[in-house]
Amino acid sequence: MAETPGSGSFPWRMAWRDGRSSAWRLSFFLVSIALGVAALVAIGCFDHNLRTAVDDQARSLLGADLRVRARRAFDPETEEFLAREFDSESLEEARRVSFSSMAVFPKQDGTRLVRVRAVEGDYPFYGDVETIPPEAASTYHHGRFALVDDSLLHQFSAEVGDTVRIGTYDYKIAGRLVQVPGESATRALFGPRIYVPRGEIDPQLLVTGSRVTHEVFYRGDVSDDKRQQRLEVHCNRFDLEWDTVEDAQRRLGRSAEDLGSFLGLVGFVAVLLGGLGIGSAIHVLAMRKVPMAAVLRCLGAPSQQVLLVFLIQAAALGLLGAVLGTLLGISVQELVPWALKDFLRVELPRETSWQAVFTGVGLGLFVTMLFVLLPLVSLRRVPPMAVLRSVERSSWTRKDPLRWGLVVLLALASVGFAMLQTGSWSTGSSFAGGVAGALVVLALVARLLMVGVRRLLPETWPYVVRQSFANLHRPGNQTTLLLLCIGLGTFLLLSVDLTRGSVLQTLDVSSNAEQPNLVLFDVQDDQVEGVREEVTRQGGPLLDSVPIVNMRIARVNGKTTEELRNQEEDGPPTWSLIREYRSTYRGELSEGEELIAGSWVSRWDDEDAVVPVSFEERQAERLDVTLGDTVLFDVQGVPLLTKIASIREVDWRQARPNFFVVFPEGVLEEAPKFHVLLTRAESTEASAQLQRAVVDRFPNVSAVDIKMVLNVLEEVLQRLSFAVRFMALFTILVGVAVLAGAILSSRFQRMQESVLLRVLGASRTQVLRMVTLEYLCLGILGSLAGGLLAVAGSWSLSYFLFRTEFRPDLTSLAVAMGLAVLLTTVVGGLSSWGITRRSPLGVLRSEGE
Amino acid sequence: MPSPILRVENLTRGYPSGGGELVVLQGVSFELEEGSTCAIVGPSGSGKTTLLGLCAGLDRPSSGSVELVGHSLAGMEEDALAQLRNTLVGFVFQSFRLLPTLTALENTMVPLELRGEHDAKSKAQELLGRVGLAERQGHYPAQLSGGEQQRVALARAFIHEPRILFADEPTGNLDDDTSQSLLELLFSLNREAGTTLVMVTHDMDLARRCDRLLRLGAGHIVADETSSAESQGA
Repeated sequence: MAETPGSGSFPWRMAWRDGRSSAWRLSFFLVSIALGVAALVAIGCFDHNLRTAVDDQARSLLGADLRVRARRAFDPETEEFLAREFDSESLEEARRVSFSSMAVFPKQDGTRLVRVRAVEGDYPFYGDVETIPPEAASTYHHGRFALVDDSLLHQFSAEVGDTVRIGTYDYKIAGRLVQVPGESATRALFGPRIYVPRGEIDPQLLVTGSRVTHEVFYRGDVSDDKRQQRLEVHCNRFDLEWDTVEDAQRRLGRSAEDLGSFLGLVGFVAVLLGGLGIGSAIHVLAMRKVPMAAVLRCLGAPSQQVLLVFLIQAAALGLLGAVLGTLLGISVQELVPWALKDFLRVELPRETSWQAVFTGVGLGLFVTMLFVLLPLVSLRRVPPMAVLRSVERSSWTRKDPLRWGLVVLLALASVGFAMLQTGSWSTGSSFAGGVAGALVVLALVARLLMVGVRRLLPETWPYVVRQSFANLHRPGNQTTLLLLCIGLGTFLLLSVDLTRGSVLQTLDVSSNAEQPNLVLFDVQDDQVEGVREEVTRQGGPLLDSVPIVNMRIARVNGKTTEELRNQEEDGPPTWSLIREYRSTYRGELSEGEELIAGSWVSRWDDEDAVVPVSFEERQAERLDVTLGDTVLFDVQGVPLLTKIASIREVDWRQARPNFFVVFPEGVLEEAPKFHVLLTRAESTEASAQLQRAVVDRFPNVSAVDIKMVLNVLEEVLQRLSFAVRFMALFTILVGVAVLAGAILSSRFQRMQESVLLRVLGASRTQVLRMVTLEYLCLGILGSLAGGLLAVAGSWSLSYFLFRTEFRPDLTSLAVAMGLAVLLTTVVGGLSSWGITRRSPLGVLRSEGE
Repeated sequence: MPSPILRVENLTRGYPSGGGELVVLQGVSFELEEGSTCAIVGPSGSGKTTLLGLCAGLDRPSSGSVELVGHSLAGMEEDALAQLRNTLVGFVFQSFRLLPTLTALENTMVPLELRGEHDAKSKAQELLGRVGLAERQGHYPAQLSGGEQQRVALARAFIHEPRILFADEPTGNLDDDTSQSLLELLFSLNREAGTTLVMVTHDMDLARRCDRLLRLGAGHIVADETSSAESQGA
């Protein structure tokens, strides 16, 4: 026999020659992988920049090198400790007091609950407070001036130079507050900020009961380990918190990691969908290339060379897609921080991460190869006899161990990829499992559809309808892939909306006539009657008046909180031990509470005995206490021993104060306390008028309009869902590209059928009707399957995460599903455009191309 | 006496069918001398194409053996068979089987390029000129007529100077005039290269131009005739 055939360069030349004419057919899949890689690169660059920013701007997150914080004024021991440890020339000190209060804009006649921050000293030491005009950030210290959140000024159409009243003090607005280092824009939505000088606060606002945070900041070298150990001991003893730049950096680093994980998953789905698309395109291509593989085998090409020809084409396609995607990703990387700007606490640098670029190119190529290998490997087993007669495809595809090996590799690689994107084994594998589950459900729907149509299609239906439905199960169809794209797209779009809508609908109590919608708090004992009068005068019903006593836990079952905090594992969370408990007393359970264990004690008059109290179910679990356990409370300096007599389940969605601990009547009446009064205003104007009247007379009393809180919550959720949807857009764009590509890849087959039908007498209208009806059917089923998946997903989120009743917004469900149907039909129609206009001869001559 | 270029012994081929086996070829044996021409004729379903495929190493027999140019095909790996075809065998098919994405020139070059030969292009151009397609070498199959496509297939079949050429109904898709000119070309190239020709055909006139005629019926050789041309010393 002559020398060994098989030139090394033959597969490359063959790949190029063959690819020239078929490349355009794969262009949409090139777009799909490119979009997936673009998402990866843009997200990777964002993640890199966020981490860089967290590292570089760590100091400005805290604004200082060290912060010590207390929920009440620093006690003399702490002041003495701070003076002893930190009073040195090398350290600079600043202080800040923060509390919520009502702000009144007299000129505009408006009131709003705000977060007041009163600063003394040059805080923040690091990072700049951004104001308009810029100099206001430093000049407001010199008198009774205020910096007011931009959004608040917009709300009341107030201007720099106007007056804002807090308590009984009037402040001239020195500037608009645009950006404060370490605080996100969304935070301002919950409590718009007003900065005033520390020495210019109305002392009435700092009365007992008000939630006031006191902070002291230091700039300089605070890295002395021994001093930090002493600080730790002191803070534990006096229930203070302290943190350094490293702590702030670690906290934000964790948030950045979480955000990175979420975005990584978006990239994962986009690339996975792109991979599915390209895999499916290659599957169609591989079926068309069987005759070519047979001829090459017949002419003497070894099987590996035949495979190599197509692998080179696929790799070139993957590489080109990855490179194009990388370029696109670099050019759109600005969009990710733009979409997420409301949630960022740091200023992001604008750098291209080469790691993200290489990861994008590498993963794009890897995913492409992984998905194309499965359909391509069977080409190496095409029998040369296929040049002489048709050979059943299953004869060379079945019993191929390589195919099964690839399926396992594909599954492992998907999990590995998800883990790489999230940085967590459990998140990565469960997400990959979830996506696989959704894909399996959609694939099953597709399978059911095909089997159902084949078996159940009535023969009495008109020919056009029968033919379009029969198209769904034709050999080499794209029904499964199309349903995957439509279903996944609908699912991604809808689940965010449904969850947001469900949460908002559950919370929307403002329209319920029996529910309070205005809460007045910080009402002192001697103000209760006056506030009641004022409420009644303004026409509001007094729906409830709740006394609140602040206390802290001193011991649980004899153990001090410090001992419990030092327990090795499974101890109660620290916050549950050191937090201030705002407890109430009353004789009966309130609406929304249910006794689930023990017995309710209405009144207790035995001063010397242990007081029976009722604990909220989940807080009891956190503290690891149950019926009969004792808890010693420190009620503002007075020890009070209690015993858990009952456990309650509390519906926290109720728009009224809910409590972890409820005392019986007869115990806390004489303790220092404040009150919360609940009323209802029938309109926004009535609510504003009532708030103004109360604040005018009692400046320390604050009011929360629940309707406004809900509006704020809705806005935050809207911004969040915009950000999520924006990121999901990458995936949806990939889905549309795959959709169009899948339709285009079967275009030639459709064209041939259209020609044959026209030759046999079908009109263009009939052919177009068939195409439209087919995509309409696919759109309806895909959106239904995606919609149902979204309902299931949102229900799970509502039930397990938010623990709310699931109330899907049927309108947005119907609109989104309708849009999916419309999009599918339009994309289908556009991609099939012209198939009825080609001349039959042209199509017949290009057969086999 | 020279050793036969093709030796077929007791060849049987069956295919699984509806739980049983459909035997399309049974106990076929014959030998063919180098440089001879042989036509295989018979009604549809008599096993002609199956026999051709088995002889060329495109398929494997259920039993029996094939020896091609001294190589026993039994037990050879798929890639070894491919190597054998690339060096010793040429093919012409009824439906041409040109690669649709390659030009006429590129299609012709494939067998030599597979071997890594560097002068494939000049040889292909020369052969295309020989079959009258010098001006059409840049055209794709879809841009050529059926006769032109089959001439490209002929050029491809002869470019690597095979010892034996298998042709499956080479004129089956062509009109009479085109068939005649193509056959002249086929026999002329065959004579020049001294290639052995094995051809499946329904056309008895064409079959009679071959040295030998194997008549198949229901999977068996029902007649093995030497044509008059040979007996007349043509």
